[in-house]
Amino acid sequence: MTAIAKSDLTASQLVRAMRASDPALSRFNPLDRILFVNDFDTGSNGWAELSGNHDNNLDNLRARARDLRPPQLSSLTFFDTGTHGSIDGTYALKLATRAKLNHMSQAIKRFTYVKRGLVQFEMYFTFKAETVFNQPEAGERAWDGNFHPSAAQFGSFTLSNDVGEGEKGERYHCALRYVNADHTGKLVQSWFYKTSVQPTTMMERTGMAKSPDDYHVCHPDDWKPVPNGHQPLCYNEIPTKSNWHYLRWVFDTERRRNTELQVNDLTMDLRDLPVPLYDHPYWGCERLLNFCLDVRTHSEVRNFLWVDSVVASVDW
Amino acid sequence: MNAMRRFFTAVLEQGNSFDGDFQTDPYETGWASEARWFVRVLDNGGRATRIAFQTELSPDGIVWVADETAPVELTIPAPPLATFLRKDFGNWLRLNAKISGNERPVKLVVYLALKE
Repeated sequence: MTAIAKSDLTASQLVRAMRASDPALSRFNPLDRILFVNDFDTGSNGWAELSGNHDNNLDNLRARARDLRPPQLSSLTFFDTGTHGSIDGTYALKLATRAKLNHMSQAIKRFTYVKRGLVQFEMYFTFKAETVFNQPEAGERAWDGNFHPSAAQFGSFTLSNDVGEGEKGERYHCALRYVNADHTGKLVQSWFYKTSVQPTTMMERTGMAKSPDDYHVCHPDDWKPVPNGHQPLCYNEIPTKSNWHYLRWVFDTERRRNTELQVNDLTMDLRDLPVPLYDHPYWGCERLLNFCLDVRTHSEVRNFLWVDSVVASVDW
Repeated sequence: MNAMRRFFTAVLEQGNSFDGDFQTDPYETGWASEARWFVRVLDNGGRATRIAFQTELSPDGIVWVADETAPVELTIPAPPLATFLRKDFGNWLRLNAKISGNERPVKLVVYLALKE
């Protein structure tokens, strides 16, 4: 009787090999347990418009937590070349601001957690300002065949979470923002982390916080540069060419901190950056784990963020 | 396994107030074969208000044209919910609303219910 050769593969090597053989998963690098894989050719996959709290009366939505726009299943269709399409298939998830100064569009996917530990969020993304015919050129760098003024009309996009440990635990939001350009149109092209809590409906209603200018923070200046976080991304010259970028964000719900952010070939160590905690409890947010994406325009030009696909994974 | 039909309701106006004509923001609907508008009137803005709704189409989300149907007219006071269906469109839809006779702003919720 022939003995069966003992495999040299460990369980984790086997899992990695099986994932690598799946073309959709092979471009990601998930932790041990995958929470979800969202390909937007199959629908919106639970990514919904964020809304603030209310008493069934929409008038009581606070100003910064209303009209955050429904996400769209986008074919990336443009005026010059028609349909660009997504990485696989036709559709990607698109967030679109209004053509209104400082308007933000945010989508959310809502979970709870089984265990505290590492959570990893991976996605491929691309971003653009909307094509505007007859763009005014005053004060802007002119089109020279390579640089396009629309590159300076894209404001920022932000990754964030919402973690609640329960009424006797902490609640906090990690938020990482890529600022492409400032209000003057000057290119910034850097990553930032926030330094104050996100004012909530309860904080506004009880007078703990004023209605903020910036959804994520008490004061619009409450952001600091991520060390070594300068990163020009691929705009590719005109507003109708979309190049996908890889992003991997890890946060740690045990330490209540960001861990690291990788975007293409840049990996930023975030472990020592503080994450502001609320100094008061929240009812009904037991083991809350939400994932959020938003895009914000700094001018009266619509800004778009497309995502295709998303993989979230955990270490438990 | 048979795939279920994809469905998505987008709230394009979330209880916003209008004192004049408006158009909803561009919305991509290329995956859907039918699009049903629902317009809920939250505040009538005055007794004589009339609103004419016209679906508009676009090849690119930038340049718009009215579709081939007659406008849907809503006179307020009226049932608090109006609805109309579009079946032939390209990738982009928006709603053009012409408001007349109002004495104060009209508050509306505009839903776009999309089905594959």
